[in-house]
Order: sequence, then C-alpha cells, then structure tokens
Amino acid sequence: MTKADYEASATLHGANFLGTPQQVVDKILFQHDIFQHDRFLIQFSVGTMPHEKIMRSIELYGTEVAPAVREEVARRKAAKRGSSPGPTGRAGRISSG
Amino acid sequence: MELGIYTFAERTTDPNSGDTVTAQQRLSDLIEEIELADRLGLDVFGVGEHHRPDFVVSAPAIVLAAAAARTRNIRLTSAVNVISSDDPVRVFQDFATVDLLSGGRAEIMAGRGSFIESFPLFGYRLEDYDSLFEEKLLMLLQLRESEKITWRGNHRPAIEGRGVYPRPLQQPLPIWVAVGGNPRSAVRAGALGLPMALAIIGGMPERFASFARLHRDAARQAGWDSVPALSINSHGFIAGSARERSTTPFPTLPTR
Repeated sequence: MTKADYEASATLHGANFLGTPQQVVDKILFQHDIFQHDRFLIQFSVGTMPHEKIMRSIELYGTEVAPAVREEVARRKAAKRGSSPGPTGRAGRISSG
Repeated sequence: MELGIYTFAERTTDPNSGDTVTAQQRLSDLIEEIELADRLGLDVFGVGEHHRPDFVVSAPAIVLAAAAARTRNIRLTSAVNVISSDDPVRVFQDFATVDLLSGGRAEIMAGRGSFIESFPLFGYRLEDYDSLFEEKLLMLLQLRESEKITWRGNHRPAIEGRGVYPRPLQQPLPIWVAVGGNPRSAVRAGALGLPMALAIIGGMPERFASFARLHRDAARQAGWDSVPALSINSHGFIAGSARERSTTPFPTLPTR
C-alpha cells in the first residue's frame, strides 16, 4: 500500500478507520447511514503493532468511540420510530440465524 | 450497535527494532487485550484461525476459552473458523464448550480464510475450496439444530444418528458467515437466514452496499421472519491526537 493509498483509505469514504476517536465515530456513523449495520468490528493489530499501542487504541475505542456511537445510533432509531409508525426494520434485533 | 474488536494475533517482526515477539508473549498480550475490552464494556472480541509462523492462533476456541475465564460480559467469537479444512463436529463441540465456560457468550464466524496453508496441512484439495465450505457450513447448521445428527456428504465420513455433546448454553449458538469479495456468499448467507460479517478492508465501503442488500433480499425471499444481522469488519487504529496518528506507521502485511 502506498502512502497515498493509505491516506485515501483513512478518509470518510475509505475502508480504514484511522484517526482520532471523533474521526472514527464519524466514520462508523457515516457507514451506519449506508448499511444500518448491527455490529462493527475493528482490527487494530494488522501486521506489527506494539502491544502498548493496541491497548491504547482499545482504551480510546471503549471509552470514547463506543459510547458516542451507541448514543447516536440509539438517537437515530428513536427518531425513526417517533416519525414513522410501523416496523423499524433491523433496528435492535440481533438475529443469530 | 454492538462494537467490538477482532485480531489475528500476529507476531511479525518490528521493522524498527528487528525483534519478533514470542508466541508466548503474544498470547499473553492477547488475553490482556480481551480483558481490557471486556472491562471497558466493548461488546465482542474475535480471534481468527491461521496456520502460519507469523500468526500465533491456530486454535481460536482454546484462546477464547482462556478469555472466557478472565472476562464477564464480552462476547467471544472466532474471526474466522476456517471450516473448510476442519471437522464441523469438532468446531461445534469446541464452541459449545466455550459457550458453557463463558456462560453463553460464544459465537462462530465461519469463513474461508484468506490463506491456504490449512488445506495441505489437513489433507484437503484446493479444487474443493467452494464445495468444502458449502458442505461444512450446512453440516454445522445441522449440528446446531439437533442433538443427534445423520449426515451424508462428499467431504466427510457419514454419520448415522449420533449425538454430539456437550450442547451449548445458547439456543441457538450464533453462527455468522464471513463474506469478503464474493456477492454470491452474501446471497447464500441470507438464504440460510444467517447473519453476515462483511469484511471491508479496501476500496470504497459504499460499493459494498449491494452486498447488504443482497443479504437482506435473499433472507426475505427465503421466507425468514426477521432480517439476519449485519456486521462490518474493518482495519483501523485510534490515536489520541492527529499528530500521534501521523507519526504511527500503519504496518502492511506482505501481499497474499
């Protein structure tokens, strides 16, 4: 991957979630608009990533990213329920098949 | 939305120091990562299966069992199980056991894997890549469905009405299908009513919107009551500041 590819992948329309907690929050929510997904899994340890950096990423993810995403997704679902009666689609239902 | 982490537990060489972390250290670090994720209230932790010297985990269920004993709430999933080159009975037993050890937190993410070492290692032909996955996924679903199984297929000896134990705590034990670049896989997952873990690790995520649609539509067409869940799995790194992000090199794996 070239540096240019790497930088492009970190933009809102790219595939990688690289950045500050707020940038990662924004990107998850941007994708949620498109996919309405129920779950997001991030892989930090791609290739060589020192343990301390992984732990720091996990900490930021858990303390800053996750609460903000959950709050906004819940707000979106509540807004949707409020404005349109009828089924809420996939919202809140984790089907395990 | 559930938020989680997955890892392959690499032990590649640090390009700056030239050191390679030992397998023992990497596993110890991994358990620490899962414990932290659990403490912080993250929802899921996934561990993938590889059969290469640079990846420490070839036995996800064993690692997840160790994590189960050290965590309380976080869900513990493979990411993925390479079911094509494994025995579905063993996979099911292993994860039923993790489920019992964890108080009902285990999940299976069935995938093809992106490397092929497991095929020669376990005596399978690469030509059978597709039919192996298809057959073993269907068998896994049957194993989940009932205690006793009768099975006849192309890739595994037949079974006549034998019980598979122990039974998991969760009824049902979640089984996800990992999907990468093949839209047919999204359709198949939906047709089976299975949740889909969509790996988006390159290109533009928006281009994968069709995969989500195919998955949903296939489920609806097959008559499933509720739409199976969708997960997006991607790579990333979170820095405290923009400066930290720009000074941390994002490592690249060797091209596959």
